[in-house]
Formats: sequence, C-alpha cells, structure tokens
Amino acid sequence: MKEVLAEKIIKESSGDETVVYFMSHNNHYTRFAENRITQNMAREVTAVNIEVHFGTRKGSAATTSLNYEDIKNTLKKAEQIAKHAPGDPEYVPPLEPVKINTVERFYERTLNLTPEDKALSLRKIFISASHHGVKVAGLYTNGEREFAIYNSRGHEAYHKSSEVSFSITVQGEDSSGYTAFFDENIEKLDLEKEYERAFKKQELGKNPKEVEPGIYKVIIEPIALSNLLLFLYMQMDARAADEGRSFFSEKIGKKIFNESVNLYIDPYSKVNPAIPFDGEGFPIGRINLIERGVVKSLICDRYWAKRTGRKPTGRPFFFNMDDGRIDVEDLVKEVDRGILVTRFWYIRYVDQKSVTVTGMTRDGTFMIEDGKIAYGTKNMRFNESVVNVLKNVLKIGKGKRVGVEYGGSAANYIPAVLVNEFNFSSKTKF
Amino acid sequence: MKELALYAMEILKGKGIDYADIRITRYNYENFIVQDLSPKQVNVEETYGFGIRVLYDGAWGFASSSRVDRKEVEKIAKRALDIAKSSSIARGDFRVKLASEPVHVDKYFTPIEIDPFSIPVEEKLNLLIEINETMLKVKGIVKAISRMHFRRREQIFASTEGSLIETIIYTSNAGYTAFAVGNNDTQTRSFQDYPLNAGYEHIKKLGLVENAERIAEEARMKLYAEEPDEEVLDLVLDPAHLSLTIHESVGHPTELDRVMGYEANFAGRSFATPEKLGKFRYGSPLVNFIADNTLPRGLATTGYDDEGVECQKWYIVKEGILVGYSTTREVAPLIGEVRSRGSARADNFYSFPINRIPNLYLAPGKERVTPEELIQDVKRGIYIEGRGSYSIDQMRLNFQFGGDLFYRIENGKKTKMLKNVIYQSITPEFWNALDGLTDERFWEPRGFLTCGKGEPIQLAQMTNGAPYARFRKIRTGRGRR
Repeated sequence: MKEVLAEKIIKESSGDETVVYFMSHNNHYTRFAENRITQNMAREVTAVNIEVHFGTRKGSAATTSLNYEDIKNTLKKAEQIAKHAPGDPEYVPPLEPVKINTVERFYERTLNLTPEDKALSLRKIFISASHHGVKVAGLYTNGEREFAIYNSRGHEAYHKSSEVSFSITVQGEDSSGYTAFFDENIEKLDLEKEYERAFKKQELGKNPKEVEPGIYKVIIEPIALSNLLLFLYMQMDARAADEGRSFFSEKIGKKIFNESVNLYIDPYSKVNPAIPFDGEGFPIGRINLIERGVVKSLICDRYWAKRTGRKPTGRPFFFNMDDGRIDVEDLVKEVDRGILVTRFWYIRYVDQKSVTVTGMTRDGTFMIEDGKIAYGTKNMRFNESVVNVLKNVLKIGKGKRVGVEYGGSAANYIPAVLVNEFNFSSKTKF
Repeated sequence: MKELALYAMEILKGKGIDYADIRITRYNYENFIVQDLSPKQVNVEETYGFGIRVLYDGAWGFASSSRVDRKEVEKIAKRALDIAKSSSIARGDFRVKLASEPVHVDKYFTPIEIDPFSIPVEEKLNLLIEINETMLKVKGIVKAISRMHFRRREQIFASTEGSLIETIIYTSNAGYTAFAVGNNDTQTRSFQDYPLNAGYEHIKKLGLVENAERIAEEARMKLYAEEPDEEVLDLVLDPAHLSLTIHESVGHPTELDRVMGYEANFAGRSFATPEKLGKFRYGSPLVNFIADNTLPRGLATTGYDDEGVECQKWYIVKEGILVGYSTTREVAPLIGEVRSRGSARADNFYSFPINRIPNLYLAPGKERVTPEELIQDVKRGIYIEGRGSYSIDQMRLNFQFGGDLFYRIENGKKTKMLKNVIYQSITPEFWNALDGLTDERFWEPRGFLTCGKGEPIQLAQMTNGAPYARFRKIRTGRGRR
C-alpha cells in the first residue's frame, strides 16, 4: 500500500526529483514506579515526509495523516517551499536504485503481548519488591516500527522490526540497582531474571561508603560503556575531521587505541541485527571504524565523499564493539583495587577536540578490593576522555545489546571493559 | 474538533470510570538549518491527532491516534479504558486521586504581532545565509550553522468534568554557532537560542545579523585564550548561562513527580523532599525563585496545562527557603495540596502529560545594580556568558557546568579571555553562595525547547529567566584532561 501511495505522490509531484519517506510505529509502553503501574500507553503514529527538488533547491513537508487529500496538500507545501528555497551548493541528487539485502527483525509474537499480560507479570515483581522492602521503577515496551523510502529514480528501502525492551531500577533505602534489556523477540526476555539482577545490585550496594575522587582502575559494564562510546562515535565524522573540528583529524591509519579495541558497524551481524540503510535509504554495509586499535574509517556522507574522493558510508546510528569471553565476575577477580560502574548518567562533552566528557555514576557503583566486590560506594562524577578509556583498556569482557536511548528501534553491541586510570573528579551525597 | 472532543467524553461517561480527558492537537512546525551556505533543513511539518486518558479504578490508561474521526475516537476511547483496566491489576493499594480543579470553558491564544508562518521561506533562509556569510568571512572560522524554528499548537482539551478549553500557542526561536579552528584547537561560540512564545517580531528584535561578526570573532579569540587552573574563585554569571543552572538545579528537583519517585528509572529523583518544605535553606536570603505560567511570552504560558488546570504564579523558593513544587493533579494530593500548580504537559497528542518545569525564574534584585557593579566587588574570579557543557546527578545535587565565553576578573575588572572553564558545586551550597544580583533592567527571559524527561522521552518547553548574579568561592577548573 505504501509503495502504491509513494508512486502516486511521485507521479503527481511537479519537482525534478521527489523522495517519499514513511515512518510508522505502533508501540505499547508500560511505565511503573513505586511498585505500581503509573502510565500505560498505546501509541500508533504514521508520518509521511515528502521531499521535493527543483534543480538544487530542496524542501520537505511532513504529515501524520494518511488521508490522500492531506497528503496532496503536504506535497503542495513541499513544492512551495522547495521552489522558494535558495539553491544548495552541496546538493546531491536522490539515490540511484540499489539492492539492499533484508535483515529479519520482525517477530509477530512480540506484538501479541497485551497490556494485561504485562500488568500480570509486573504485578509479581511488585509483590516481591514490596515483600523485600524495595521499590521498583521502569519501562516495559513492546511494539513494531516500519520505515520505507521511495524516490523518483526508482530507489526503494523498506524495513520492519518488532521491539521488546525492559529496564528496571530497584531502590532500597540507601542503594539502587539497574539493568536493561533490548531485543526483537519477546521470547528472549526473562523478566524475573532482569529484576533479580537489578535487585542483587541494590542488595550489594547497601550502606554505601564515600570514596575519595581520584584515578582508579574501573570495570565499565556494557550499559555504561555504550553511552560513553556514543560521544566518541559522534566525533567520527569525516567532514568534521577534515575541517579540523574533531579529535579524528589526521588520525586515519594511526594506532590510537589499545590493540584489543575493534569498533564497527554491521547491520547484518548476528549479535546485533539492525536496519540496513540510513535516513536517506543509503545501504549500510560493514564499516570498520577502529580495527586493532587503529582508526580505519570515518562516517562520510555522499556530498563529502564526492568532494574528497572517498566512498560514502551512509549515516547509521548504532555500532558494535568486539567482546571477549570473560564474565564481569571474572573481570572483578583481575582487580586489586578499583571501581565497578553499572550505569553512567548525564554524560556531556566538556571538550570535543579531546573527546573529554563528564557524567555521574548511578544505580550500582562498587569498590573492588583484592578481586572481590568489597562494598557499594556513593556516586561520583568523572571527567575523562573517551579516547583515554579505549587507550587504557586492560581486558574486554562479554558483550550485550544495549538499546539506543534516542535511536528508535536500535541497539549497540557493547562489552564490559576493565580500564586503567579513569578519572573521578568529585563526589556527591548519595 | 470540539464536537469530537465532547463526543469522546460522552462515550466514556457511562463506563464506570473515575475520570477521562481528551486532547485533540494540531502542531505546525517550520524548521530551518543552514550549514555554511547550504540549506540543510528546509522543512514544514504537521502532526494532527488525539490522545485519550482514562482513570479507571484509580489507575490510568492512555491511547492515541492520528486518524481523527468519530469511529476512531470510539476505538481509541475503548482502548484507553481497556488499558486502564489492565493498569488497575497492578496498582497495589494505591489509587490515583486527582486534585480538584474548577470547570473551565475558555480560550487562550498567544498574543503575537507577526505570524511567523506568514513570513516567506526565502526571507528566513536568506537571513540565515547572511548570518553564515558574515561569520565565514572572519579568519579562522571553518563552519557556520544557523537555525530558526517556529511552532504553532492548536489544541482542544475536554474532560468528563465538563472543561472545554481551546488554545493556540505560537513559539519562535533562532540562534547560530561559529566554529573556529587554529592554534591546534577547535572552539565554538554561539548566539544562544532565544525561544519565546511570540511571533516573528521576536526574531526581528534579536539583532541576529548585527551580532554575527562579533560572535565569529569571539570564537576565533577563544582559540588563543588561556585555560584556567583549578582554583576556588568567585563567579559572575549572565542570564543566558544562569537559565541552564536554574533549569537543572532548581527546576528539575522541584518537580513533585520526581520527588515522589515517578521518574526513578530514567530522569531520576530529587534531594528536595517534602519534609524540607517551608524549612530547607535552598539558597541565600537574596534567592527568590518564582514559577509563573502567566509570564508574558513565557514558553509555558499556555492559559491552561494539558490536564485543564489554569496557569498560575507561585513561589518555589522564597528568600532562600524551599516553599513550593511544580505539580500535577495526580501528585499534588500526595503532599496534601488541594490544587495542582498546572504543570502537566505532553509533547504531542500521542504523549501522556507529565509533571514539567514551569516558567521558573530567579527574581532580580531590588536595588539598582549593574553587571559592572557586581564585577567591581570581585578580587579574583571568572565571568561566564552563555551555556556550554552541563551535567548533574540524578538527585540534582552534584553539578558541573561550562559556559560559552569566559573572562578572568581581577581586582574588580574583566581582564583576559579564558577557555574551557568548568565549575562544580552542590546545589544548595551553590545557591547559598549567591551574594549579588542585578536589578530588573538586566533580567532576561531565556528558555528551552528541548527539555527531555519521561519514558519514552518527551521534549517540553519553558522559560527560565534570570538577572546577572554573583557567587562566592566556587570550585573552578579546566574542562580538558
């Protein structure tokens, strides 16, 4: 149906080129806190975005209505603003047709989970939490997303995925524990196991001690590392590097990181299947960003690729880091004195050029002494370069899929790491 | 729209529910981004749909749709009710009880002089291109990005209590950034975004082109500025900078839903717990934080919030003491308050309204004081303009802020430019260190369009105004390791 509609829009468009984007999601979100459901929402939204080109002038208009009259008006708006937009000196025409191999990420059974099913399984957790004198808060989501792109040159890209995600914070009197799960297939989710994992962290963290800020060995668990690496990934843009605005300026081919570090993108990977094209329908293949510590390639759009004689990569918003075989428990055994971080919070750049970021620990920070978790610690702020983190990797543990916070239905595949010389700069009161 | 809203309420009234409401919302957006001379985003957008919220047996259900007709309203009303019934399975002993609110049948429209959507697209884009051309002429500037954003929200709210509220809200915003490269460094300097609920007249008064060369020149100067050492120093902060400090360290911790644990999984909780109300010294006696959703041109000035509560004005901190929270109809009764403060907002028809920061501002000082006079009384310190890096813990205590432009203050005078400055403090320690404010002549209604909270995340808008203010003995340092 979308294909037919797109064809009709393209035929009706007066533009030299037309691109039609469809995005739809049909999700059910159950939020809980204080051992009860606090919000329970069904969200069904479809949006059509029409981009019209006249020569190098370009404009787009979007609507959430699928009524054809509304779509026709949207097309008129797109034509109108494209006609009046100044020419784009960096114009690139729409993509020529290119085959995109599909990635199977849709499981009907994920959609069959009803709000009642979710409430019944959450109730068990709430009863257990109340029994143990703790409070749980979290989000339990299931649903589907579709993304389709059609252009006047005959290029098509289509992807459909189901999604189940669950995150939970268990709060005790003076400690808390967190975990999160993401997959396409509901059968992989063991709700009680997730709860138990977060519960155990909360138990282990009771009576937290204040630790002096300073340089420590740290074990950064996958959820925490995924959020940290995002700030490195955002610097991995070829144009920003060429213009001298990024850490990665003149770094291609140089060994910057520990040789155990491999960072790459691959929507066809078994560990982390993902949408195989980007926002303009450009096919995403495997992109080796860092290989054995060496910077191999950067993200490059079609305009910059043409201008600099590179191959474009597309612009994916997910990445993977090769993992190892060691469990976090075994990484702990390697540490004489250090800190284990479950989750980072509110990470922001402090200096983009050196990829220095700041942030806080949260929901499960522990002191390790003589190869064992010794006690829970109060939370601390860090100021550290993500480049240094990957330079100072001592060991790489097992990986996990971590849902991308703002990326829709996508995840990163990220290991736990043991890192030397991580800088905690100040402390807080809890 | 109105008939459909009333129809939805009629359907639900006979279904044994505690309460229900509907928002039928149409958003129109114009988004323009120009990078160097290339228009990267030339986009208009319309979202139109409705969301129905049902309270059944003390538990919520919510469903939404972008198909706006009677049949769909019937379907979505039933779905919202069914979901509420599911929620009631897992509500434990807790029942949502809503604070009472008078029935309102009313209209509210943002007063504007010039409809931003009536200004030709080429005029707006040419203005952005002119800004970038001006900045790119300055030596060392490798990139210029300018942006404009306009929003019109038309909404009908109806509830089973009989409220029927029609609102039309306009928001206009513009800003830009220069990127400089040289001296083995990269620096940026921004003409800070300045959103208000206003028409295009606001954009015309900003002086966008007039300031472009200065902004670019300051970006270049930052390349050659010194980095500070770690030191405990006095700070003088400008209104654009303080808007963010206020937002993070006062706005969020006084959202009552956070305080009561509703956001513990993501946005976090708060140190400002209810037993502190009326007693806790949040700041020095000079500190007055006023919430005011009736503030002219304020970004949360919408007449009524998204659960039909009239916009109000109240104190959050009075003469340094914590005295109030932002609240919704659900959370206000949890601390014994009889009426909501009208702070429930949803970012679109498909979102559930949650407790948001209101327009919240630091009141100006009563005595006539200029920024220069604040600086005169500093022996050694740093003056900070604009927003930069920012981060705060989930209880809203330990924070670290950067800025956009920094000058050293020596013996009462602004001297050398600095770069990569950060400061770190604990919220009540910081606000208790405030010992000087400029008066209302220097007060500015700065604000935000993308305040993220909730799961899935929602983006809200609010004004966080401030005068210039001086703080004593704050830990400062450099942002680069």
